[in-house]
Amino acid sequence: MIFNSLTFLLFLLFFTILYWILKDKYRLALVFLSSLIFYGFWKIEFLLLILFSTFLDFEISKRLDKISIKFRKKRKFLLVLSVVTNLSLLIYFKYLYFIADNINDLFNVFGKSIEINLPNIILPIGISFYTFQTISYTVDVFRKHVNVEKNFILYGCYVTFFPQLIAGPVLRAGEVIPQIKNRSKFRFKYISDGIERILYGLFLKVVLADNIAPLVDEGFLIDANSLSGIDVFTLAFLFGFQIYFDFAGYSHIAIGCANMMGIKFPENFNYPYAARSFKSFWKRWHISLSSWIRDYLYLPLQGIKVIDRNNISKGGLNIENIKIDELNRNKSLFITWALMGLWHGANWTFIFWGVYHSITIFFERLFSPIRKKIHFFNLPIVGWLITLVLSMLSWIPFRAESLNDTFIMYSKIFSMDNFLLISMRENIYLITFILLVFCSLSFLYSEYISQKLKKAKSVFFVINTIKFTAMFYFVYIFLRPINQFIYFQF
Amino acid sequence: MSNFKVKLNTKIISLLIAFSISILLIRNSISPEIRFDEFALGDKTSSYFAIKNDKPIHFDRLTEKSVEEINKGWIQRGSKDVVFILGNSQTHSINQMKTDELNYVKLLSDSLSKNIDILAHTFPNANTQEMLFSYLYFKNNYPVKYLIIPLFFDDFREDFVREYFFEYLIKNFHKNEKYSLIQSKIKNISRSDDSNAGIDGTYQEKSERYLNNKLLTFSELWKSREKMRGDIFIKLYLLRNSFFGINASSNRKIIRNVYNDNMNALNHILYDAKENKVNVILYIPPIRYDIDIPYDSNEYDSFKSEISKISDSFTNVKFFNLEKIIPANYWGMTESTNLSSEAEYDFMHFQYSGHKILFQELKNIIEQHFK
Repeated sequence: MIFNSLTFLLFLLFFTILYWILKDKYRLALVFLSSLIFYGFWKIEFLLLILFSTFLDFEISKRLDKISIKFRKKRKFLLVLSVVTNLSLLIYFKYLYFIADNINDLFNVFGKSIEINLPNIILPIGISFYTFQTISYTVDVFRKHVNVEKNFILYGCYVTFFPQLIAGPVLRAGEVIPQIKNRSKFRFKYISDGIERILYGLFLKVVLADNIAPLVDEGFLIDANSLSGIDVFTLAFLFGFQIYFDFAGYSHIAIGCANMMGIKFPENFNYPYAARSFKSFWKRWHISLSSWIRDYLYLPLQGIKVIDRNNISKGGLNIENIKIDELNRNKSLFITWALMGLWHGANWTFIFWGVYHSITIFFERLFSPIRKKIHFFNLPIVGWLITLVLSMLSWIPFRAESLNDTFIMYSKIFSMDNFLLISMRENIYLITFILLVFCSLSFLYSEYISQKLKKAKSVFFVINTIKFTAMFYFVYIFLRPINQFIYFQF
Repeated sequence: MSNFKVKLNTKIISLLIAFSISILLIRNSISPEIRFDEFALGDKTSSYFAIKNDKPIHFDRLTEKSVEEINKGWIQRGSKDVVFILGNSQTHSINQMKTDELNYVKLLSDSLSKNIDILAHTFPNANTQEMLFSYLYFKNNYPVKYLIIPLFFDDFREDFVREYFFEYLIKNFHKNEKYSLIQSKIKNISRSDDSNAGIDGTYQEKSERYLNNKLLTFSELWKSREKMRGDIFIKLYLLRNSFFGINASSNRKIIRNVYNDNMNALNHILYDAKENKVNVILYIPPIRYDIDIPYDSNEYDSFKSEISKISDSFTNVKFFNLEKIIPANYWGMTESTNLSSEAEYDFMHFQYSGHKILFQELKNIIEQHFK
């Protein structure tokens, strides 16, 4: 089921009423069953896959918990079994074509060709997200960071919980299971907060992202060779806004749905385009994935042991205090980011996107001591501009059809010939500029003005009412399931 | 605790008030349907689509129903060879139209009807990519002997194949069609209310269609959403024009990529016409010339000479420059294209007398060159 649809809104209405009416045992069954219905509305046959993945980790974790830590090898075997099985499913459904294509290309290089016949594989929606969740659960049980869950329905609720099932936030068992298990006492605040977030999310998705989408498609349809520097910048920014509105919109709706049940999800976005450094950007963009990657890949790759975490995806991490080897750290950085890129999609463009980000972080670290000494680079606006431009340009491989197109587009930035020659409708440049202003003002309002206004309650009330009115009005007019959320394809 | 209660009530009250106001706003913002493409016509210009024996010979939208009607009419009139006219709103619009006035399509049809049939497909801001799509369909389904295409410099800024004009063709478009250009241009625009991207064939698609259809049956408010979306875009367009001082006389620069795609599409039409022995008349359409035209004169001149050169390379193509055939007094004004109420010069649409002149010119051309 997709959020920007009448079906979902109706489903949510009935679900919320029943959630607050039913007693515990039935309530858990409701959450699990509703989540399966939510998923089955896409393709019912893939329910078996998600149930298999859920059951596998449930069983393995139970066995892991029973084995004493003295039997390290046996415990490790179970952990590896879980990780390998989950990743194998992910590889089969998501990366098999990519692997086959690359094998073909490799043979072509040596003048030989082979034909690998593959069945028609459909990528199960949300597989990348729920695979990460089930893996993290088993790892956490292995690390003794969470207590094993012995109730399959409750564990099933954690994996399949519909607000986050398809595109996150990537949740940890420790932060969700207790909230699902122990329902909070009903408060109207949960409902009003939930509606506010859902409204905000729908506005970002159906009013902004979906109306930007045709312009982005139009731009990326143009032959990359005939674009100019200004076109490339514009398209990078425009797609940057589209993907932000789209994904942040999804996350707002997911958080809002959970809010309505009195469940708190970690925030997934925090004005990423206001970041003044790349380190800060990744603490503001897809926060739950960044922290997952850090905890389960980046730190372990450096040999750093995660001792404990306080159920907070954005921090609160207690890690082993060991001396960091710079070479190992940088190696881990590049590997992690390349894999992060690959997680997004089975294409070299995504791997390049990941490597691009590792390079920006690498250089940010490298020049950090110099930067601190030069006053100019410490000006907030300078840090913001550098981060904004480079992070927007990183979206080109993410959206371009091929690496070849990506490189051609990047080359246009450095080509001063016809740099300002426009290749698209004037409106596209204008809209991109307006969005930049809109985002900047929105950040300034939220960061500085809104806090002050909260003290003047009546003014804040009027402004909020105007804001909600506009959002209701536009969401009503534009609500159509015409576009999937971009992150559904990952 | 009391603070909490106040805060809690505030947000709910705020949401409830906002919801009520938005419903009122929605109820009050329902306006008559104006398509964004046709908005520029204003109420000083009227659309005229020719009909013969109750069957359309001139149309804008190719729907299942209109295609059937066109075909029935053509058979009824004796399945004769066809003169196929493509064009934009200049063809189907008459400035300050009075009763019984006609456009040049109807005049041509009445005067050339002995051995030949006239069919015309014109739609606002028609670009040559769309014309190629239309031409291919008619050439494949009718014995097209003559093809008439007015080439508006303006429309070389237009891109993509618009779904609402080509509903029938898009539905029946096969991916193995000869021209990948069309395929890529269609793919990009199929985002109407009916196109549930990503959920096709799923249970959600079924439930979504069911709910949507139910709401469309019961609620005028739901039905009006498409109109309201159009209205929002028109208001944004007017706002943009006011802010930047844009009006009908403002200079329009070419957009190189779009221009090239349109030139490619024109070349495709001409090559195909040559292969299929279709005689083509290309002409630079009339424009109001007593005042400065809204184009960059260098770009416009080079456009005309490029078209002329292309035409020279085909033996089946004749090129004519008809830009100055309609005197200034046969043109009119159009409504403001920004938030001001001042009328603006209409460079595109002329009066009935203009249609008569253009008809005569085209008739002479057909008779002289393609006997």
